[in-house]
Amino acid sequence: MFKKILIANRGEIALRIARTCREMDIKTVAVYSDVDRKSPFVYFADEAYPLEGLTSKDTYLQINKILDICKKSGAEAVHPGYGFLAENAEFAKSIERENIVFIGPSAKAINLMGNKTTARKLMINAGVPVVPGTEDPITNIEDAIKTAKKIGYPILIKAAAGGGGKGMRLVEKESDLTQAVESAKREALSAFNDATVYIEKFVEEPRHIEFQILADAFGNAIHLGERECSIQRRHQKIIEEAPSSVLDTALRKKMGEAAINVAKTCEYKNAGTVEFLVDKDRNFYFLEMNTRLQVEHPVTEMVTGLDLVYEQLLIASGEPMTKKTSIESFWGHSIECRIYAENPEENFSPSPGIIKHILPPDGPGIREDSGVTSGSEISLYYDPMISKLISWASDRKTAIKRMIRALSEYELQGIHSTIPFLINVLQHKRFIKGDFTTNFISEESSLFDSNEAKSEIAAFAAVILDQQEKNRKKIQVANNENATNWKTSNRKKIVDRS
Amino acid sequence: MKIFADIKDKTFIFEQFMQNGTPVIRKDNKDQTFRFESLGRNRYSLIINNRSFLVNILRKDGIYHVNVDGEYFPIRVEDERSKTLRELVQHASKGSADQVIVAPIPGLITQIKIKEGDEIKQGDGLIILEAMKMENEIKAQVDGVVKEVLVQKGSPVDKDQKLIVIT
Repeated sequence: MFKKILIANRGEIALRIARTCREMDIKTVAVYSDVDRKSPFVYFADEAYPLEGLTSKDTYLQINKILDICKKSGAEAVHPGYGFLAENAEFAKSIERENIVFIGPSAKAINLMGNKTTARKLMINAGVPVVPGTEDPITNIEDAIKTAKKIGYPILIKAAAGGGGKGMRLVEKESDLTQAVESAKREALSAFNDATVYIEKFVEEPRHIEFQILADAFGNAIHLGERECSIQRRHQKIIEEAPSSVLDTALRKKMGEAAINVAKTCEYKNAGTVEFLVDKDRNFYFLEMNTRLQVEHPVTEMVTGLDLVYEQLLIASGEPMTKKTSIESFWGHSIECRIYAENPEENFSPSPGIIKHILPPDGPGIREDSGVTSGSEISLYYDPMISKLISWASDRKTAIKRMIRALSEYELQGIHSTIPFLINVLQHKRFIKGDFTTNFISEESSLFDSNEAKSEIAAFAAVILDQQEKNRKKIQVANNENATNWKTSNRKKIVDRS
Repeated sequence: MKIFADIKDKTFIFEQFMQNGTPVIRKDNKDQTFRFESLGRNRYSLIINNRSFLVNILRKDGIYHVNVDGEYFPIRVEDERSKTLRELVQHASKGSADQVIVAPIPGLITQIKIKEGDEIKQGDGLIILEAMKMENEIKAQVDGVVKEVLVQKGSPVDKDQKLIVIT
């Protein structure tokens, strides 16, 4: 096993990786941008090196800076986390060139899967079902118009290098196509440094269900079951759970086998995720493979009892992974809520600022993966996620109840967060029934309502505090007057004496 | 004395007084006794008619930012006199024909789709503001003519910074 690794990431995931490392007696090296100097992941690490700069481009995306720090610190391996350089084949290659281990798949596998158009081609050849669409990137708008017409609107424009909904646009009619392509390209360029986009048929009433894969150097390739990730806003997941309420043992087995097939096709090693769309008739289509640890990996950890970072480290250091067979059933039910610094009432616009006070919940069945603390700043430079709250219980109903309890307990001051919105989702009849698709949030306007009873309590408290402060000021003024009187009379005495 | 609490689009009206040595708050002709204790760090324990709540309250720019059981509410508290005064001032400042479009969030101006003198219609895209790697299109809320563009492509802007004046 490694003695020291570098974590090329920030925030909650850098801290989460470092925690497992500490349990394994592996020393950790953190790298940080100027704004992250005071972040928990920096002071939790055994060593920390500055990346000098503010933007992602100048810091966490700087391959050379990170390589230099690897050499300087003597790290034997690099964990890329998710986002930033996690799916950058060039980065993986440069690291391996220096005889440092990249904790993830080979550069070749990243390349194959990272480009969504090559991945689609590969899957078609391997017999894995894919969503109808273009096999090649869009090079000119005339071809795009033709293709879109052929597969039929609505269509999705997606970034070939994509992920996280960035560089993705839904187009309902031809007249919107040109502008959507342009704006998707711009966003793709800014987010991934690659403006390539392609067209896919928009699957209606879809559910987003993904499978966790683990594969080691000894030929073991297994799946750890699914995660249901259909609750999304702006094409980004905000609530994930395992198991999914639409999968039964037979479908789980079928999709799991397809996922393993995907991994084998690109000779995948380490942890990865195969994403599928499932339509209303429970047909499934390969969407993409994420060649890294996912944000939502904790739900799989809760229902399988495995530590995925631990498994990643085992595999990367050339040891066999703990489990050799795919799972057939889960241990209970787990839900993750992503708490973002966003204002749901203003179309989830980011709400950056300083966290004045944060006190996460605890108690039975609750885990929190967070990278911030009181005084931390949610800046404009990075993703506005504050924390991930995870609940576990023996069944789904209890896991939902437990999550609502924990979210209500969460204390957070200074910035807007998605907590009230998440509570509304979890209390919604359709969510409780498991009756939802990826359109759930846009279909249900009641999710944005605020709680009448709570608003009255809030108003009570504000009025009471307001009156208290006014009274205190009155008393202070009175005291000050007394003090002045006392002072003057005392001065008078002194004057009189002299 | 009446106290007004504006909370989103609702207004609650309260009265607060002492009764036999206990503080009482009245709303909709219903009296409720309460105890309110500061726990430090802007945290308060509120017990109202024996129901217990933990409340986080932060005061900023004259607004109380209140968190109760995971819910968040921005609240303005005023007595009758300050409410009347504020409404008078607000009324007086109306009537100007210019509409100023401000940045809803801090970010970077990546595209300006209009120039001074352009005629615009409600719903037209005016500016693209990039924040946290997401593109946010700022659209015209009214029909009009662009009188002034106060920012340039590539410039970073703060929340509420003026971007465009429309007449």
